[in-house]
Amino acid sequence: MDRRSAALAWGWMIPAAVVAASAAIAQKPTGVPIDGNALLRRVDRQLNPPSFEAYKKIINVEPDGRTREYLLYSINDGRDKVAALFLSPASDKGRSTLRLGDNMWMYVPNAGKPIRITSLQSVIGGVFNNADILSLDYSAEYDVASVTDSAGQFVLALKAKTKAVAYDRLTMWVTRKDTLPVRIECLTPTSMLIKTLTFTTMKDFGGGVIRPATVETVSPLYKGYKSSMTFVQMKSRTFPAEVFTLTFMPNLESIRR
Amino acid sequence: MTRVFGAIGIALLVSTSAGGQEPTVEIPPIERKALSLGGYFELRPAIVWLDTSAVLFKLQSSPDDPVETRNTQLNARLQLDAGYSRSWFSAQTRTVVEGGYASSAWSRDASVYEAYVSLKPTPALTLDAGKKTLKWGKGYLWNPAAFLDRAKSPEDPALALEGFVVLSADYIRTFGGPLQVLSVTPVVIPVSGDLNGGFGERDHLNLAGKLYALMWDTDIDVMYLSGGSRPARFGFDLSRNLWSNVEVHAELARVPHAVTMILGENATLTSLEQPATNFVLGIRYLTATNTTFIADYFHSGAGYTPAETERYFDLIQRGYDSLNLAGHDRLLVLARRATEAGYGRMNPMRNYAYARMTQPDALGVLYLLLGASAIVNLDDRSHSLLPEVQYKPAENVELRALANLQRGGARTEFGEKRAKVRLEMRARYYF
Repeated sequence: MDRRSAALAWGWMIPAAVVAASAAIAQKPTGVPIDGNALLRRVDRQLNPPSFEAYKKIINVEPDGRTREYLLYSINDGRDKVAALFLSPASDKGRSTLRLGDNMWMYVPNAGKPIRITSLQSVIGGVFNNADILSLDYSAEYDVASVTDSAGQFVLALKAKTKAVAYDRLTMWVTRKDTLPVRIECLTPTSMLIKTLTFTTMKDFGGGVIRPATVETVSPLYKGYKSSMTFVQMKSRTFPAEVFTLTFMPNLESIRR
Repeated sequence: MTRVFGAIGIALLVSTSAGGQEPTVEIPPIERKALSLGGYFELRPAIVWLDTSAVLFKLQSSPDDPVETRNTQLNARLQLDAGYSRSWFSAQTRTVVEGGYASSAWSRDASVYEAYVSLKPTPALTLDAGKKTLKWGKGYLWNPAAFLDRAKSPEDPALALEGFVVLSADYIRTFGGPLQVLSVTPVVIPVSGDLNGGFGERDHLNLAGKLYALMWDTDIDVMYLSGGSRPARFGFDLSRNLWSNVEVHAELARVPHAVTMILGENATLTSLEQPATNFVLGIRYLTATNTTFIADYFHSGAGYTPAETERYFDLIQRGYDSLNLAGHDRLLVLARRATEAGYGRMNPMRNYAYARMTQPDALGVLYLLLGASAIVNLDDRSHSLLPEVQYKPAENVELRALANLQRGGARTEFGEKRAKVRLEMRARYYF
């Protein structure tokens, strides 16, 4: 089976497997411990195919209602490879970002060379930082410390696997029905709330990908500001490994169809 | 000049008043177009306070010139980026048109910074031919291992630079394990007649290459430049995130036969060949409040010592006195030759430190950036301070106010600069 066929097969098999697994979890009698890490991996696959391309629109809303919009083309491969290309506005067009695990780079056409950036910075300003924009599978960065079952939702307490992860702890509310997140609170090691992500607007992207199209975020550190990231398009696609390299960053546009 | 500042301010206020809309998520056009066009236009009015007692002021003035203590300028720049892409073929150009008004005189210039074609038969292989900027190295301001690049501007290290005409290729391989990526970039840079005249000695075919590896989460480059138009050299750089908020980088170049032009005590300019090692060590640190600190240390093995620099400044002073008192310009002509031969290059001495602090979203205002940079000559303790304020009042509009304060004692690098203070406003519109 070649990579393209494999991707198509994944497109059908993953939703079917997740639905079956979700049904199994839902039928577990009370008191039986839930495998939190397996549940988190299912959340990841419900949110994204294993390898995909997407168009995202990020909107920063200022306290006075003014907005700034960014359009990104992004590609993900496996659990820890993400690249994104800014398509608009004109001031950011051509910028690209790359993430390989804990390593992140940004390429600015004027500067002409990629530089290392960190997950806590934000290439666009606003409430989303680089780790939010170039997000990996949650199960790649976090272990599940505990799972509780509350009012038809699982509440997962997640702990970062390494200190390089942007948020030390997450609290994630996941629906029992379709194993999708509805809310995530990002916390410091001392339980201080950094930001809240809310998942809204279910959308069928085709190929078996049905997920919330919009992620909204607010932060007590940015009072009055809010940001949202809306997936305009998402589809399963595999990529050669070479496109997820520093050397290829200036050429990211060439893989867009 | 006040009117110019005022007009820019009014134009930008008008452009920002169109806000107040609720966010709407409309599906934008996402199809890929074969032709693309973009760039920016900027206006940069500036006021420069000159130090008429500085020897570098005297080097560039003649007795017939009226003595000017303040200079107002209006500079404009248009950068036009155009591209064409179809299947495995693409072409890119970057053209810069600059115009300026200073000291009752207009100037203009147009340059093609980049113009090259690319063939990408596979994502693993790219072949480029034409004028291109390569931008090697990891340092923020100094890049001793950027063997094929021009020097960066201290006032804007991220500014696009003019490239050279090259033939180059990128070949990429990826692996599992500690070595994740390996790429090879061979480069051919011919220098003949007007072709790449600014690179070095004519009638040479220079070969260069870079090997890049991502290994143990560290970027590692190894570079080489064959001899010819410039002395042969080799070097390496590396960059790594130690933690999620700390990055370290280093860059080193070794020139076994570096040639430096030295002024002798008997007012002669002679060449000295010696091995030289140039390196940069740097760190970038991001605080919990999103403040970024950058610190780089630069050592130039073939740089001038304080005594050699003092001799150069003394020569200018003697040449200026000789011209004014006796009408003889021999010493001043020699000083100008020494300036072109190396004494006039950016940061010509041995040991420097660069520090930069930036605070985005400062004072609780999104898109407002406060920053300050400092370049310190560690040999003579002179320095240049560059405080700045940036604000993006509207989409595609960027404002920047930048000051450059140059301080130092007599016969020091920054103490003898022609401009004591430079204050610049920049308004840039991207399209």
